[in-house]
Amino acid sequence: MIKHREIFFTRYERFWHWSQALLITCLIVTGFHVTGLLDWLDYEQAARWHRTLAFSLIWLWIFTIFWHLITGEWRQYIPTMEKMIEVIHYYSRGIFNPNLSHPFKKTRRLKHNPLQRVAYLVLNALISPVLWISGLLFVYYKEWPKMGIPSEWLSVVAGIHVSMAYAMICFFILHFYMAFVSDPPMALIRTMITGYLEVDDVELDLDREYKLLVVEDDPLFAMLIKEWFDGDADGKEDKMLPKKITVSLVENLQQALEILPRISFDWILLDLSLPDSDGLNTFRAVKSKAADTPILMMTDRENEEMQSRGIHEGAQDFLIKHNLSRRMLARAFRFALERHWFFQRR
Amino acid sequence: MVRAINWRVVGFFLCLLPGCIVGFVGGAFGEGRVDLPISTTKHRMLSALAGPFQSGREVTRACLSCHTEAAAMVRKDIHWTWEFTDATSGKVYGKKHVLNAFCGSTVSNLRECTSCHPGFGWQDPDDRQDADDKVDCLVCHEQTGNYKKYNYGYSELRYKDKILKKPDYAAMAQSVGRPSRANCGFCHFRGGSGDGAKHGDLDSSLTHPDRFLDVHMNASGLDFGCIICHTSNGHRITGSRYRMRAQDPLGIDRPGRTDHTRASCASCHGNTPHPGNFKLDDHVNRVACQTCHIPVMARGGVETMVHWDWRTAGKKTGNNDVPEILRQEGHVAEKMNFKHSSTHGTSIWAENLVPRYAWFNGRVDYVGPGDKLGDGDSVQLNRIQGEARDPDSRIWPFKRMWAVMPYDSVNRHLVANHLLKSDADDREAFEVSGDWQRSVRVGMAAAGIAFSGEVGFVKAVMNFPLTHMVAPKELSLTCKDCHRNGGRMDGVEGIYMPGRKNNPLLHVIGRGFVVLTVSGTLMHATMRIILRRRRRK
Repeated sequence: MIKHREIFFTRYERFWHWSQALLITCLIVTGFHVTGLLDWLDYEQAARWHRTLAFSLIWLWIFTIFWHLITGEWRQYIPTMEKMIEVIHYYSRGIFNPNLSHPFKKTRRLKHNPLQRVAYLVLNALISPVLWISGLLFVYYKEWPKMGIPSEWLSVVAGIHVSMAYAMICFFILHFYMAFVSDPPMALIRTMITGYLEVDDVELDLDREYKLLVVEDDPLFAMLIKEWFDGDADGKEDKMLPKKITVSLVENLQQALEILPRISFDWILLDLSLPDSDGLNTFRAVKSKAADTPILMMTDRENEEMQSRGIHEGAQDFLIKHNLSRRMLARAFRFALERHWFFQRR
Repeated sequence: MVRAINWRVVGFFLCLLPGCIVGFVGGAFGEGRVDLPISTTKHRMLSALAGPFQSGREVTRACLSCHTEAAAMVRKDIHWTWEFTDATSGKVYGKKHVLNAFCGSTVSNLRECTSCHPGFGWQDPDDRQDADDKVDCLVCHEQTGNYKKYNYGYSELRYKDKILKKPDYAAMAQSVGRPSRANCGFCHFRGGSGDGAKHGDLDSSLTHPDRFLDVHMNASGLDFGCIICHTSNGHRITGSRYRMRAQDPLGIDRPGRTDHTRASCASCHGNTPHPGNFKLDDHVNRVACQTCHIPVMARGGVETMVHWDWRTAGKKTGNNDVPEILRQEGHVAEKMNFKHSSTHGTSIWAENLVPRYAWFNGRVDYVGPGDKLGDGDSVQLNRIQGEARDPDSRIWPFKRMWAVMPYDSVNRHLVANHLLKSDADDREAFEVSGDWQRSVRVGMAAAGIAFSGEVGFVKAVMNFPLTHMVAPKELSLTCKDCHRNGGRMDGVEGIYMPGRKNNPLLHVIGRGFVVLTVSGTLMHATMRIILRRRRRK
């Protein structure tokens, strides 16, 4: 299988990850001094460093939360049950078999397997916030009377902080171990350093059903397209296209704009000359309702300016009606699909 | 060309050098002498003080000719009354009533004890409220340093009715000024049988202390006298240990916003005294300033007494075994100095001692003669009140003084012992008879308490809160002195203190989880390596 290197973690994510790893390691060591389990360092130094490091970590998190919000990457942590059973099954049994691979194929869009999502959610939504809040309370102990907190609760707050610190240590150990549970063992570490992941060059998933919308006022031509592509691919000679394609036909822009919000199509084959619209305006109207769907434009004649403008505005390809053959259209579909898939993945 | 050295220029700069050094050192410490307000009177020019005087009472009368109210004021102060009524319990304490772990009680021993009373001729505990001229002005105010007091508070050394030695009253009267450290120290440095014996933070080394010994009283620096902090108004001197305040929430005193005493650190330093280190300020609501800033007591070269065993009194030789209790409290046997007196028993002295720490809210309850003892094998003569839950309590440093002292073993209460003879013919005093039954009988009769006739010995302990001998900041305790396991605060309970293992169970559970996680991953890793290798084959 062909592999390729793909940027997986941006520079900021890597900076965040490693600086956080360093901060947490130092916080664990200094924290043990503050609880009285270690005395390698002078207490004052340890306590001062613990405080400074903790504030650095909180600052880092404020930036990172901001980063997650503006990039939308926070969605990576929404828990899901999809493939959960398979992943648990893999880690508990399949992993011992060198012939089995991980059931979850990570992509730039979906970086974390369902188990990771849960683990990171617990870390981000429970362990870390409780550590900060209890830690901040601890540091600003003198302000408690103003906040109405009885000072006897100090030991409770400290106990919560220490408990969560132990949870953090357990997470840290597991996380550290999981970093090497890959094949080859250093692959994940390398990704976290360089940002690049070696991914299998997975073909498009051609097994599922694909939906094609044809916007065409010429009923004969529309029927021809439907005849060419609708239904199961069995018996059709080329393996270029998905096994099952459903073709929907609409006659004008009005109908197209009505159907687009309701059904998610995989392609749109769009005749620019429609009864109720003409030229690039047709394309723009459709594009506005289906921004993520690859659109193939068709016209009756060559128009270089309109072609280049259309491509510039995000059309996948430009086809001339009277030149069309099934093979050619199939290739255009396949190309549009792959191109779209590729961009999506990035 | 070699230029000749201009010696005049070099000499000029050499002359500047000492000034630079003094300036630098002075600037570095930032401490300047505190001057008291200049007096508007030169007492040596007053005709009333020209003398000659035949007695101390004559001097007092001369003083009172101008300071008309002074004696009446003194006679209301605890220095004169030796009585203190505790407002909360209504109990009457004060030297006249309490017991200490040194000579015991003053009741029948007034002849010698009153050598520290600011009056003349206190023959009888009730004979004190008469004339104003019995007040001794000189002991607190004369500045020649030669004034002495003897039995019954007389300033003349007497034998029977003969005066053997009389001070130069006129010179002393003309020298008067505000009380110096030496004036206060005349009594307060020597309580409990000798220099430094009683308090651990008060001894003659404070007459001319250096910066190391006390940063405020430093004779070549700030040079505070006692009265800088123990402020007074109308001869009522503040800062008594009978009713202390363990904390001063008012902070810095200003006219119109004052608790009428500067006998607390916060009176000058406020309650956020560590600029740039908010964590140190966070200690203020739980830890007394003294705890960190008096790292060691009795460090002026004068020993303090830590143990007094009365069982060997009356015997020629003492007992030089180190008491078990001192061992437990961490005293080092080699540093103990044993002293034995056939009339007073065996005492143990030591210097440079680490204080003991306890919660203290300023209240002290005393056990007096006649008070029933509990079931324990030792008795606390002054019970330090306070606990972690009490917001008025702070962790304070204490000097601890142990004694093995006589008690009524049948009635199980402490006794007033007639230790010192009340006149030359007294044969009942312990120092003469060496007989506990006889001396205690007299003491208890004087105190008006029933005595069974049986004397046993009981372990007693006294706690003295420390507040003097404040070290310069570079010598104060550092975090790790307390914030560690086995640190100074190990006996102090009821508070969460970072740096010492506070919740052992939590750590056991936490460590359990870590061990489980580690062993889980190790097992998983081992299985992965073994099984994958096997299946590859």
